[in-house]
Amino acid sequence: MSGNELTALSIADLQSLLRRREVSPRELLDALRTRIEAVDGDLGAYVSFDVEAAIKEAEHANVDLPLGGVPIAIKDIINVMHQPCTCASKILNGYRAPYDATVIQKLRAAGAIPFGKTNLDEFAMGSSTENSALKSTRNPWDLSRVPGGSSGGSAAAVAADEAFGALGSDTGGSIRQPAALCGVVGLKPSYGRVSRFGLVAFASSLDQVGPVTNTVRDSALIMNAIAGHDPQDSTSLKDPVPDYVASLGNDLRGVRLGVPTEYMIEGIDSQVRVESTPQSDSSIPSERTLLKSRCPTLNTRSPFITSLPPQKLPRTSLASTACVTGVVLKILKTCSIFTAARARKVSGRK
Amino acid sequence: MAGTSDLDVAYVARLARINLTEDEEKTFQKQLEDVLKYVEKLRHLDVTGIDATAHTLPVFNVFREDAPREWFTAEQALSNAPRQANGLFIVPKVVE
Repeated sequence: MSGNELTALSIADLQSLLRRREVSPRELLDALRTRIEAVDGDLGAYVSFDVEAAIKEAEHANVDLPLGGVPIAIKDIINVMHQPCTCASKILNGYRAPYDATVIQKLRAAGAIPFGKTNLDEFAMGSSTENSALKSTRNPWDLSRVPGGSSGGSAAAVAADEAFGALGSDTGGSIRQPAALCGVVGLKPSYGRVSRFGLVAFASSLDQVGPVTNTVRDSALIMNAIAGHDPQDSTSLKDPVPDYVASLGNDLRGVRLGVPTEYMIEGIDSQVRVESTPQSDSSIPSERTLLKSRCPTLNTRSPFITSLPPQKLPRTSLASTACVTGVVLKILKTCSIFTAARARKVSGRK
Repeated sequence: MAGTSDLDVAYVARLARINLTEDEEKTFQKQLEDVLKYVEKLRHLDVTGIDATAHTLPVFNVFREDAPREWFTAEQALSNAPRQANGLFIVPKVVE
């Protein structure tokens, strides 16, 4: 299998190769490095990566663990021991994290190898990854376009096969929106599900760390590793964590999805509009049912996110933001806080 | 909320010890006024019957056992200090 074929695999497919000893974690790192060196000059998804440190970890990786031997890219706002954590700002130049964030400890405990720090809008404040003080990230589908943000580096890296999966962080759309713009899966977990210890804060009562991956299964694998209560984060939830992987494949018949009519604003992509417009009469019973719902406060979502912490106004259009938004504010509590972007594989991906 | 015309960027910059050129003052004055206008939209929301909420979870007064535990060594805690002495951070004097 060539390096480019390897880097295009899902985490789930990688695991079978790793466990059959058909590929080694070291070979995965080499394939990623080659891929990054080939395409990241154009994309700018990574701000740093430490191959030597990752190779050392790969040498004693236990591939039988849930994420054993799988390199995972990390948004550069999450502390990874001994690595820089720039938050895409120049004011943290020279800083090296003296500890691992809880999500990194949990990834390591599941056998994953944190590899590479991905670009973002400075301190996660932005929606295009153009507000990075280090460089802009481009959208791998079309280099003239933005990848979204603030987890634009993570989304672009996964979409361009520069990472098998990545962690992002989401306050007001920073995982969901770039995942949608890059055609990958992104999940903002419910607040409290994932520890924020070691995540540099943007708005503490809204921030969550979550996965960015090529498939829903891969996001479930990462959620299984990172979710759960953490004594270091007093706002993390003590509730039992479901097995996300085991819950995959559940029958969705009868599940009804509410689509706020407020999302259907001027400027929205016509295909998005068509596919997410509720059909009053669903003729195929196995199809998910989309229902019209109302969320009248949605149009004040941007002023909210702007007023919580001082923040530059998003440069991407309200339309693209609105289609994936869902802020966890009490006033918006009737809205879903999950918007997992469905992976849409576009031809000519490579 | 203060009217947008009350915003004095030069004064705020002095408080924050940021040196701005006249051009920068003008730029930020305009940008911040725009942000405040934007936030003004929140005044028109009807929040009748909605409780004030700090965050979404019913979690209050989270304490841990007051017991010693392993934590950063002084060396680790100081590992990013630009200047240090006697196990302490050395910072610029800010209060006369």
